[in-house]
Amino acid sequence: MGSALGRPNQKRNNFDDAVASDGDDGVLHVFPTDVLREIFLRLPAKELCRLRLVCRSWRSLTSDPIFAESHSRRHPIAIGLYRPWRHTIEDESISSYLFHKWPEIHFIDLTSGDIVKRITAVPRRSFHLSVQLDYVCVSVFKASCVVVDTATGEVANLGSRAVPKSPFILGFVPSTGELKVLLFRMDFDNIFFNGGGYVYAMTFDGDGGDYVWRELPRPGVPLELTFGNTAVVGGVAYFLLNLHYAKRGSEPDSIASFDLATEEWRLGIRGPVSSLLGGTEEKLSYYGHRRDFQLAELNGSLAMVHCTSQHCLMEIWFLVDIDKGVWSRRYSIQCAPEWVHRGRFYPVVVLDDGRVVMSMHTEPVIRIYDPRTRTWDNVMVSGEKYADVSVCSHVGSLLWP
Amino acid sequence: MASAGSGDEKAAAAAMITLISSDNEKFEVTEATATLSQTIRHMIEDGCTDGGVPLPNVTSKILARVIEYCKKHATAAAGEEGSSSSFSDAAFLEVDRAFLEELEEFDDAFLEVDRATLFDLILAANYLDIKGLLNLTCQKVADSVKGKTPEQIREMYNIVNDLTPEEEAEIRRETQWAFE
Repeated sequence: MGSALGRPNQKRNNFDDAVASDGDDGVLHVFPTDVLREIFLRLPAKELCRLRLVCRSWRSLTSDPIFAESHSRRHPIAIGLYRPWRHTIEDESISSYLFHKWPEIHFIDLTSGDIVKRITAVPRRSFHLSVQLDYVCVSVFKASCVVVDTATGEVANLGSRAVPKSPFILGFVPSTGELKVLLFRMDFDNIFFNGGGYVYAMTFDGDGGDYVWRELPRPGVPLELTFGNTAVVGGVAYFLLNLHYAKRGSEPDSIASFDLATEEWRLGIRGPVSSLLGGTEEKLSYYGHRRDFQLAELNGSLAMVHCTSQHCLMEIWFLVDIDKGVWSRRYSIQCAPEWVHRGRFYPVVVLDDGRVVMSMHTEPVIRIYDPRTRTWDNVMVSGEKYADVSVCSHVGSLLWP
Repeated sequence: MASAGSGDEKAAAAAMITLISSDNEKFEVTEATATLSQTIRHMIEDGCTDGGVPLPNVTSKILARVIEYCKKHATAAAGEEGSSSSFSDAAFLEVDRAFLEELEEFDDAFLEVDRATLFDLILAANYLDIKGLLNLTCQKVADSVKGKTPEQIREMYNIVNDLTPEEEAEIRRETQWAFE
């Protein structure tokens, strides 16, 4: 007998030991390891880390790499930049007096809304996140950017070359295993003359050495660099065109891409909606429809999110073949007008069962859409407002030290 | 073919399975109900259900509850077949919302059991491989653990702390963020 939950049966499915008996103030039970694992899979990472203090077998079970992997699939994590109070660039001076709290990187369990981990070593004037693997690149207003290794908590400051409000883009190159940081300098006064501004890159190795920025070929078209207009998928960074500076006659869902391995640009990739339209008379007006489109990385694929504020019908297209311009529409989601009108509303991740997790940067609410029942579940994020923030899906386990 | 439609009632009625509990009680159930258990489904596929399915790990008290659950959920499961394409909503499924709500109420009421019964249900669901029931019952245990201190949990489940103070310190150090 003895403590049964505490010493899970090593022999799988041996039910001869699984005898129940009523104790006075508790129940003694032998759970096979796989059952205990099933229970642990349903607890958030933070809870599990604390439960390691219960006994040795709980510790070893929750530290198992295979368990950690299944757990992270089940509890997808988003990373968000939390900026306390209404800390906008404009009212910087006021907020610094009124509010002593600094921004934080929050790890949000998307299925429960719990903030499972916080990183506080974030520069005060941070305004944008770019996430790849375990690394978060935080763009800092008027300064530069820092790259945070979320596994170790180490922070690297990458020197200063930024212009105000120009976010840095972090890109992982699968073929080489390198991590590159892209920096854009937009010269809007001469945007057509200089081919969309200057681009620099730096290979980040985390060694803390001198970081050197190299100049890259220019994109040739003005890009939109803010969140929702860029996505990095499989070593390629994708961009929508800049709303105000794109050439007249551009298609609103046209994409430019940058291959992080070969460092070459590719322009004029056709988006899903304009690909469908035939003659020029049907062409979507750029200025009329540009705001209807957002780019996102969804479960390792490039997705184009199309939502007109008129109908509030969100269609999510996945890129199938970039050369042939083939897109596949996998979701048509009816949204409430107030979600669409009150700021950016965007998909963060698709769960194993097909449900889509959506986030809105103005509200601490995660909405989960179930396509089977066409219903919404709301999950409150146990924090405050995420101001002008990127909430990106994060692949990796929090159960690792 | 699935035997869910009303036209197939007769076929379903013909395919009855006998389940035999550890205390030798016999339960007659339809194939649709029984195949919610993957374990039994495989047995049926292998054609070894003639003369009843002995379940030496499940008492009649628990088996009766498990069957109650399966009966209720068999109809829902039949409707869900064919909607397995998880990455698409192309084939929309018309699910009766009222029925879903009723199912949820049933599940809530089903979980109103003492801890010993709950644990037996988990073991039965695991052995019979009934995904929905395992999910339901494990979630209940997980919820009961949430927010408790290690001491409280050890007390709840009579677990002996076999960690040395050094190991405890190590655990706290490893994932310091979880203890803040």
